[in-house]
Amino acid sequence: MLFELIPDWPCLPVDAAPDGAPIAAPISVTKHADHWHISSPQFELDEYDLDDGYMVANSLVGALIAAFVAQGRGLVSIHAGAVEIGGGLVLFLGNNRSGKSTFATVLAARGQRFFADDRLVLDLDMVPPLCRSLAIAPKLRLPLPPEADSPYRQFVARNSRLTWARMAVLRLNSDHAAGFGETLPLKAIVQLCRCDQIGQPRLTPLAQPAMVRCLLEQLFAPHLSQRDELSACAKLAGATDLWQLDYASAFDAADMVVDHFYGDARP
Amino acid sequence: MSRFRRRPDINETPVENEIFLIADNSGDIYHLDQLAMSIWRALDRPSDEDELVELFAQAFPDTPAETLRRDLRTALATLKDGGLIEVCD
Repeated sequence: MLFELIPDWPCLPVDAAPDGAPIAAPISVTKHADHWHISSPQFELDEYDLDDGYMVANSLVGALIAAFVAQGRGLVSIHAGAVEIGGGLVLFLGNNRSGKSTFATVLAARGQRFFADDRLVLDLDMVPPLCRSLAIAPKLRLPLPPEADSPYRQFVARNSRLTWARMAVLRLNSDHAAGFGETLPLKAIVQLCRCDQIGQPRLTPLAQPAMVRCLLEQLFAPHLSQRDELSACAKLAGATDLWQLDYASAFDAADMVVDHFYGDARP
Repeated sequence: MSRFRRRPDINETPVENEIFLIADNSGDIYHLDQLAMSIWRALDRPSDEDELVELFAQAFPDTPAETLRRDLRTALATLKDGGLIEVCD
């Protein structure tokens, strides 16, 4: 299951690590009689049912990301969808069920290069911040929304790798998605606000303090103190264009978003 | 009347023209609304409720004093409950 979620991550035996340095605080996964347990030096993880392989694998990916960003000054990870538009990366932030995965995969189905539907790494020491793809397989809730168009349904069907009753894990090829470690400069951050009652989708500028509040909920950097997390969020919000997208359906809003961030440069 | 002051272990992070505060002991992060931010700035110097009402009455001359006092009292209680300010005498 783990390697279905992160098929492109390099895996080396411990003694083949590039710098030969010992692993000071390893992450361990232990199978007990009735549960899995993951221990991580960065944060406490829950125990998981033996038959919930997806949650175990997903949590282990989180522990690995936390360990990775803890190694580099200026590195943080963030819960966001992300696609390349016009040579830069546009991040889509929102709470659970705000539509990050749907939005990112709809844009991918319409030709934008996919970077993330849930998690990616940012280097805040770069100007503009540099985003790094983790090449984590996107996942979608099933059934697809009723308004999903035929090309999107075909895209999902063509790229589904694992399918359960309520979720599908996709495997996107290099034509559609960035590879592991691929980087792009950050172009903009969009806060997703989905509301069924809204008519036409609206993209409006968002003030930095409002984005900082949003980022504080989505930043994943357990190696940082609260103060450093706030500082990182303020730095990130001050380093790029900030927008709020009010929308009812990703299928109606996607083209408007692409047109907006391409500006006059759309091919 | 009680005088209020900022707690010394609170870290202030300005973002544009607004303020985020972090309580060192709990790590909790607070984003202040306009009134709370104005009170926080006013408590750069310890003040009691009457002094704050007088100060805010100059800034909002059209607002009845009782309305100002009620709003200030509520905001002071919120700041105090959050551990951001304390009574200093």
